Amino acid sequence: MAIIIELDVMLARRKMKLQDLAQHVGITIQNLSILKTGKAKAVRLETLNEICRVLDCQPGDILRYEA
Amino acid sequence: MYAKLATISKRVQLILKIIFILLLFFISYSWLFPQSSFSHAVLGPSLGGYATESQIDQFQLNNQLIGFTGSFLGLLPLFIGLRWLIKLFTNYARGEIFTVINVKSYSRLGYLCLLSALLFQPLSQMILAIAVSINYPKGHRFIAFSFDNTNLTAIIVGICLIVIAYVMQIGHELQEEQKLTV
Repeated sequence: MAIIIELDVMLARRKMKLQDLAQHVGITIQNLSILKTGKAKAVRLETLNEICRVLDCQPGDILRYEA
Repeated sequence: MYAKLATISKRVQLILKIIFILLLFFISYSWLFPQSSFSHAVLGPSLGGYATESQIDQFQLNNQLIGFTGSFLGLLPLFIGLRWLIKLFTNYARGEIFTVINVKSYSRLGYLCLLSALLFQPLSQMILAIAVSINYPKGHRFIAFSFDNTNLTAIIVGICLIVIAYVMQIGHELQEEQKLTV
């Protein structure tokens, strides 16, 4: 898939651990790992909304399209 | 959510195991002791019009051996199917529903039904006719080939099971997608 997940970059910028993000977003760390490692087939807008709120960023900061 | 399905699956599993054992017992006993009234009741319908009760009483060892082979061959798909169904319901009891193994089980059961209707049942009937008439004088021996509504039912069930397998495959893909949705 040409969609690149840059969650780890944002986490590093915000100096936040995956576990903390999972806790704030309200999803399991396993599910967040699926997203981080690019294995996810779909992202709920609800989840994306929460991630952006917690990390104080735009969806484009997490998702990037590469041809 | 899956508790009810697990309970039902365990019960069905038990029923299928009992049917499996009873079938094996019925068929073995009937051909070992064909003279008993119980055997008449079991063998009568499967032998159809080939032999009367008095003819069944006169069965010799070769009739019994060939007859058992014919009956067992006819029931072989059922035995295999029962084993696969027991396995399928074991998976359901564990909460494994839309798995690749279950999809394959449905598909296999479907093809088994078709194979039973088109090959095993006619072959079984043929062997049973030979079993009945093997000791008849020359010119009175016969071979029979039958295809009735039971075979047709098995074909329809087989086709339905193959279609269900495709539906289960879609279910499996949807579940995989759901698993990977964050």
